[in-house]
Amino acid sequence: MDYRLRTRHKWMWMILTPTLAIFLFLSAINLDFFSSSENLYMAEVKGNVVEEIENAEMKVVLSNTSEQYLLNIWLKSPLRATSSVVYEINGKGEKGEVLGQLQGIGSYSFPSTGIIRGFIVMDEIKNQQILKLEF
Amino acid sequence: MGLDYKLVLWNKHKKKYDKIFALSIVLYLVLFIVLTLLLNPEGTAETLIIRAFGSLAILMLHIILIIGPLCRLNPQFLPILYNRRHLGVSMFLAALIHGTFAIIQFHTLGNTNPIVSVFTSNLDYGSLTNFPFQVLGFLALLILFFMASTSHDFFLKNLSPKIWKGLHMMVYVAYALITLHVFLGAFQQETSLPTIGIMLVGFILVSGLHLTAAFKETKNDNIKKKKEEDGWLKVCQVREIMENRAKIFTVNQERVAIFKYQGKLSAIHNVCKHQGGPLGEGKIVDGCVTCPWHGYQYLPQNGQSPPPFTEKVATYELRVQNGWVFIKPEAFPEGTEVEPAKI
Repeated sequence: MDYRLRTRHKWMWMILTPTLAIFLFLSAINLDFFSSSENLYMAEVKGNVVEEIENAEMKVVLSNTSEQYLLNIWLKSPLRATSSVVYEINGKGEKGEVLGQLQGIGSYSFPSTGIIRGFIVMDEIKNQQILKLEF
Repeated sequence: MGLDYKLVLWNKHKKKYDKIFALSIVLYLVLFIVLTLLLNPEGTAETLIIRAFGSLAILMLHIILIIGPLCRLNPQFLPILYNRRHLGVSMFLAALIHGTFAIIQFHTLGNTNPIVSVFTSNLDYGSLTNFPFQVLGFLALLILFFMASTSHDFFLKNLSPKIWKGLHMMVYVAYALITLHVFLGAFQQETSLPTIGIMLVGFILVSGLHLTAAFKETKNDNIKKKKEEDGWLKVCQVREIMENRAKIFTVNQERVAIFKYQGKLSAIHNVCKHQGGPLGEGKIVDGCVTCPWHGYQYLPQNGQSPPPFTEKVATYELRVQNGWVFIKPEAFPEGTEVEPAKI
């Protein structure tokens, strides 16, 4: 490197290092390492709890408010398909309207104006049913 | 050298390093796949590919980024520099596989163009938890594509080494984008203390080495030589320079290499025309100054590559008096013949 390139290299790293450090710090303190995410999740459930199911992979709570039903899913471990689509089960017990998508560990809340009888989780790429749960 | 655009000097060492890198890549992928299948057997093949190649690309990028400053801090690392270009292109291919599978997995189900979907499916730029981190990865991939596609002597020759090197410094921006892509993406979705720790150590290592090397270079740039009344700079004693080797000095903020050979001294600009290698860290082979990076050669008395090659570097006038070496700080135009100073 000649003098100009050396100077450019130095300034790039003098700017990049603190800028990245600040962003990494902000994103790291935003991560939830120690608090119980289950407690956090439960605090987020809105309305009256109608149904509640729990297994090793997930906890599902169906709640309702004066305006809508809410399907609350707390995913404890990753699903087989990283991006999975959640469908409402219709009156015939089949795949109905799309409620939303599950991506990774975390809590999800899907609203619906009608009563939710259950839900189906689909791997859309392989067109495979991953999970079917009826209340 | 500069006569055609073939990748330079496929010697046995280059082939050996290529084999080591290729084997390491295969080993990493196999290890990653086996461990993932053991720890998370429910995962899909697509997810496995995305994660294996994503983590491989990040690991390779860290190795690539520490090679440069390591070589500037300790010339013993120079041999690994030879294959950095191959490593860079391989890293881009790993990142490309990661990006392609991620776009197929997450953006091909809707009726929006998958590339448009990367930019429009999530517009929550104000949130750290839900930041559209895939945009950062995509922009980094574009930079890496540009760099990998110009990693050939054709572009080096036509853009000029100075512009080429300047453009390839974009890898630092790509590194910043990729680091944020990981911290605002993968880590927000699956918080894992060990992986965050590894990335933080990587960041400290990369930025620490680059800053250390940069400040060392600045210190060398600022060393002032005593100027004599007639405009000559007193630089060192003749005996300080080894036969067929050079000593490097900063003159007018540029590095100059003073070579000793066959009872003579010659000074040329220290920066090789090929990829900016430090000529003063090379030696004289068959009467030519030979760059330690890729073997480009220059005649010490005029800074010209021997025919039929056409590269030229600037030359400087030297004087020897009472065992001391003096240099005229003003460089001659590239390729100017200068009478070597007799010892």
